[in-house]
Amino acid sequence: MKRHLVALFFVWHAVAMAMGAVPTPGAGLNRAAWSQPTVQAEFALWAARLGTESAALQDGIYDVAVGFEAVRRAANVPFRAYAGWTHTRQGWQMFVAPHRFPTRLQLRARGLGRDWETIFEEGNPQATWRGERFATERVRASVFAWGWPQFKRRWASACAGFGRDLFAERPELDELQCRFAQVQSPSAAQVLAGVEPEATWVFPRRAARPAAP
Amino acid sequence: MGVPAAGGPSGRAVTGRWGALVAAVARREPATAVAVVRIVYGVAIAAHHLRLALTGTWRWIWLPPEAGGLVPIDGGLFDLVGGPTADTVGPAVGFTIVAAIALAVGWGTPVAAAATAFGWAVTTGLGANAGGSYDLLGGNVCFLLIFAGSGGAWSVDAWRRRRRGLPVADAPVWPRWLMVWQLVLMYSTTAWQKVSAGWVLGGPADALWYILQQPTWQLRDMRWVAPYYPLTQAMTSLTWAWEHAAVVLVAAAWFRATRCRPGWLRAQFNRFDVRAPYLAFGVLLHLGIELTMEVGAFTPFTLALYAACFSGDELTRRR
Repeated sequence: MKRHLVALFFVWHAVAMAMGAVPTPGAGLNRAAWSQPTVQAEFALWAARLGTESAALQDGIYDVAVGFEAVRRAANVPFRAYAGWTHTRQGWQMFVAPHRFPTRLQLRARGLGRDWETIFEEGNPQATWRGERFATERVRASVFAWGWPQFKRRWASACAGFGRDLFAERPELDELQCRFAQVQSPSAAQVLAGVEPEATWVFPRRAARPAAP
Repeated sequence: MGVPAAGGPSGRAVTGRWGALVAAVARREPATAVAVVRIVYGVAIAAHHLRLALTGTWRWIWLPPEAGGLVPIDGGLFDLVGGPTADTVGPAVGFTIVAAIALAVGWGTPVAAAATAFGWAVTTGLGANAGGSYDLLGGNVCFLLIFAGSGGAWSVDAWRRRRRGLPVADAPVWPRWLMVWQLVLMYSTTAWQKVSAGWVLGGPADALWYILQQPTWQLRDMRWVAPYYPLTQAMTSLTWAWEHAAVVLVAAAWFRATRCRPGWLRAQFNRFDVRAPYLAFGVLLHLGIELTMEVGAFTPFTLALYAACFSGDELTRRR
């Protein structure tokens, strides 16, 4: 009897994991995020390849994705609680598309009557405040998310949190600016030609030292 | 080796496909393959949480703003003990490190696996946007390690058994098979989602080039790769095709378990071990990622599962 139960569990787990792993459009159904230049560039590439208009392609994809997600969710109902309780959730969206317009985080601060000081910037070895934390994959993942408009509330909260830690550590600083430089990644040919694409500053936030009571 | 029929409830043989499956799942083998998985996961989880503890990163990502964190989070199970605070999450991080060390050394292995799985689940479940696919992989594999009998080899548990004069404990095969299944699901379904024009064959094959240029993940400026752009194009297409081909690992396992049956394809799979070139490419790919990008514990978690693609008998013979 025990062998049959083990076999039954084996099949159940294998099927539950397979069903859970079926790709979900998930966050991709948020059309607000589709306005990002990276997403629009992707649609433009496919529209050109398929010989259609980008807008029509986007509408068609959205309709198919909504229908597919409804079916996927219904099919997963028997397995959802099991995957939740055993912490065996699936979902393998890894580097599904290159980010052609990535963002680069910059934090700069100043005290009264002082110039701005860049205290942290991704990839800048001269600006490494809390670099040991920013270097971890988990903080990198958060920074990546905050560079998208749907996470603007978390981004505002994060900037306030940076300010709280910074002002406690550096009494001479009173103001912090958090922002992202968005730049189209250069192609290999542009790099070889020495072309430096222009950056645009996006999602600026500000944190100020709280007034003394 | 064929798959024998399983004994039924009254001692009669259960035949047919279900009987064959019951018999196959009931097989046991040396615990060496799952022991490799256990050791790597234990070390990787302990090191991962230790890094977060030593740098204070856990405070930023696993505490709410009012407790020193950066963004509002869902407290999960911590809401039962007063919410996620430094006094509740901090001990959970420490507990996970201790449990993972016990798992790595194989001390009370099934309990250590359950404790590690629990610690991993409650801590990594806290972050908002502060995680990756390795959170899922860690949860899935730690759950399977509870049942895997991985303490049967290279462990304190095995050492204590030897000291008491007990025979070497073997391990059930089915948790290892589910680990292979997990690996195949991960590679296959991530490949299905790589529908960007930069990935799919016939396009510019520039996905890898642009991924390497992304500041979020890169360890250093990667513009130096520009002269080798055609190589990144080739690797883009090879990676895409290689991930789609992950199902060969399941085919290889099945054809090896049923090698006595007829069939041209089975014979070819048993004549040439497709796992070796498939996994060798994977090792190179993951090492390349590890050298150029920060992807957390994903590399050790994934490569550990490569050991599960070989049976305990095979690994024991090769030693």
